[in-house]
Amino acid sequence: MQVLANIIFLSSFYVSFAVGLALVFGVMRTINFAHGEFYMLGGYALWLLSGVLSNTIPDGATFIVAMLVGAGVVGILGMLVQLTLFERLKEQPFSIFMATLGLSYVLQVVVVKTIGPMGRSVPAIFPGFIMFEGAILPIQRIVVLGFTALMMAGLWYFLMRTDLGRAVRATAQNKTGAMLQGISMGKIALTTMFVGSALAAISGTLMGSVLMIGPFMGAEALWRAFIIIIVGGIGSLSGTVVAALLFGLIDTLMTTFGAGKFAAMVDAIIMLLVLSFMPNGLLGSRE
Amino acid sequence: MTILQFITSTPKRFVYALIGTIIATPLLVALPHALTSYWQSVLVIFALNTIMVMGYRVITTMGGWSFSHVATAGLGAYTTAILMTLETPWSFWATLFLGAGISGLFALIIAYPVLRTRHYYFFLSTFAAGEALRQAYIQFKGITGGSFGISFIPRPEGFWGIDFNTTTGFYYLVLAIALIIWLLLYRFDLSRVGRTIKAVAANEELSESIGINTWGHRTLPFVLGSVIAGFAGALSANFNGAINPLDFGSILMFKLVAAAIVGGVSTFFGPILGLLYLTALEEIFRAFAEWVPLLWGASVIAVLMIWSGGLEMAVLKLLALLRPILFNRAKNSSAKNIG
Repeated sequence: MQVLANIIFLSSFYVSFAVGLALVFGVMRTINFAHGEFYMLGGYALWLLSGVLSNTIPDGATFIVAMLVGAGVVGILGMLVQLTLFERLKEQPFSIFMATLGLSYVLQVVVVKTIGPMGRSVPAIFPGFIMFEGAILPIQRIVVLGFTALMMAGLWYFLMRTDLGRAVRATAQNKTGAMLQGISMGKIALTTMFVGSALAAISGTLMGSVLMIGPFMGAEALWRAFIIIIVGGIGSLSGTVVAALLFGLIDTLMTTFGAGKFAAMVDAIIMLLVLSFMPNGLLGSRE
Repeated sequence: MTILQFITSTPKRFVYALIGTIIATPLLVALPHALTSYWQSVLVIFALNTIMVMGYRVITTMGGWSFSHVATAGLGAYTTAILMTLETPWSFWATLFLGAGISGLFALIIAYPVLRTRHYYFFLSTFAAGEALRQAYIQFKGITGGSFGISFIPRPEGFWGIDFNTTTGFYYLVLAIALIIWLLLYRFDLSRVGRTIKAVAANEELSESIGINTWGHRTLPFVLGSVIAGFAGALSANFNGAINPLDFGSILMFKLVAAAIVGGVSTFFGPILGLLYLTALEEIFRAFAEWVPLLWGASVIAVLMIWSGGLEMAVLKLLALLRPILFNRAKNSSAKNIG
C-alpha cells in the first residue's frame, strides 16, 4: 500500500513537470530548455511569499496565492521569451533550443546572485499524516496530489472545451490547416508559452512545498523530464502521462528494493531501448 | 589506397595547413616561457579543451549536437585514473589509448539508439545518456570512488629531457597530441569520407538514394569525436591529478556547446575561436566567477539572435576583404576559395 502511494506521488510529480514541456513542444516544435528554471522560479515563489505573507493569512491560502502568483509571473516570463527569442528565431527550432539553453544558465545565475546558492525549504503547510491500510500518507503529499489532479483537469478542460484550447490543439496537429482556418499563430504561440510556463511554475510551487528549493532544482529534474517525453513520444500529452506513470512505477519499485541509486541509469537504458525499437516513443506519431 | 596515393592526393589546403602548423609550432613551444605559472595552467586547460572541441566539431559535421561529449570524455579520464593508481600501475600510454578506445566503444554502443533521432531530439537523448553515465561515476563507488572521485593520479614519465611534472612540460605533451589530432582531423575533414559526412548531414535522403551508407557516415563522426574526447579526458586526469564526477558535469558541456555556437562550426577553426572567446571572458571576469555562466549564456543568445554565423563569419569576411589586397587578385574569383 505504501509502495502504491509512493508510485502515485512520484508519478504525479513527473506528470506535472513534463506536461508543460510536452505541450510547448507539441505546438512550437521546439524544446524549451529553460522549462526547468521556470519550475525553479515557481518553487521560489512559494518560498518568497511564505516569508512575506506569514502571520497575515493562513498558510493554506499562501500556498494557493503562491501558485497563482508564480504561474502568472512565470507565464508572463514565458510570453516575453516567446516575443523575444522564439519570434526572432522563428523557423529555426534548433537555434531556439540553444538560446533557451543559454537562458537557463542566465536564470540560474540570477537566482544564485539574488537569493543565494543554498537550498531553502518551506515549513510544512499541512503538517501531519494519515494512516490508511498500513501506509503512512503525509497530508502535504495528498494536497499536492490533489492540486496536480486539479491542474491536469484544468489543462484538459482548457484544451478540450474552450475555443482557444481547440485552436492550440489544431495548431499542434496541423499548422497550415490551422492558419487556413484563420487561427492567429502569434496568439497561439503566446497562449502556449503562457500555459506551458505556468504549468512549470505550478509544478515548482507544488514540489517546493515537499522538496528543497534551490537554484539547480530545475536542472536536476529536467533530464528525467527529457527521458519521459522521449519515451512517451515527443509532443504527445497522453504519451507523456503514460511514460510518467511508467517511470514513477519503475523508480519507486527500484527504491523499495534498495536499488534506488541505480534508478537514473535504468531509466536512461530504458530510454535507449525504446529509441532502438520505437524511435517515435510509445505514443508518438511519425514526424 | 596506398600511402603514396594518399600523399599525392593531399589537398592544397592541407599542405598550407601543414606549413602553417610547422611555422606556428616554435611560437606555441615558446609561449609558456612568456607566461606566469597561473597563465601556464590556463594555457594547458585551454589546450585540453581545444582537443575536446575539435572532437566535438567532428560530431557536429554529421548534423547532430551531442550533449554526452563531456561524460564520454570522463570514460577516458576514469580509465587512466583507475589503471594508473593500481598497485602495479599501468603505463600512461597504454591507458591513454585504452581510455580513448573505451570512450569510442561507449559512443558506438549508444549510437544505435541515439542516431535514430535527429536535431534537438538527438540533443535530448544524448543529454539523458550522458547524465546516466555521470550517475554511473557517482554510484559505482567501488570502482570510481563515488562523489569524491580518484586522486593521486601520477603524470607520465618524461623523456627527451622534458619533465611532465612541470606545467610547461605537460603543456608540451598536450600540445604535441593536440597538433597531431588537429592535422589528422583536418585531413579527415577534407577527405572524401569527411565530405560525404557533410553531404549526409545536408540531405540524408538524397545521400541514401545515391547509395551512400548514411548510417555509417553518421556513426563514424560520432565515434571518432568521442575517441578524441577520450584522449582529452585521459590527459586532463593526469594534469589535474584528481578527478570527480563534477569535472564532467553540464557546465563544461555547456562551454563546449557555447564555443561551437559562438565560434560557428562550418570551419575547422570556428569552435576554437569560440573557445578562445569564452576562456577570455572567464579570465577577465575571474573575480566574479559566479557570473561567468550568465555571460556565456548571454553570448550564446546574442550570437544566435543578432550575429548568426558567429566569430568564424567575421574572420571569413575579413579574409575576403584582405585577400585581393594581399594577393592582388580579382575579388570575385578569390571569394569562392574561402572556407
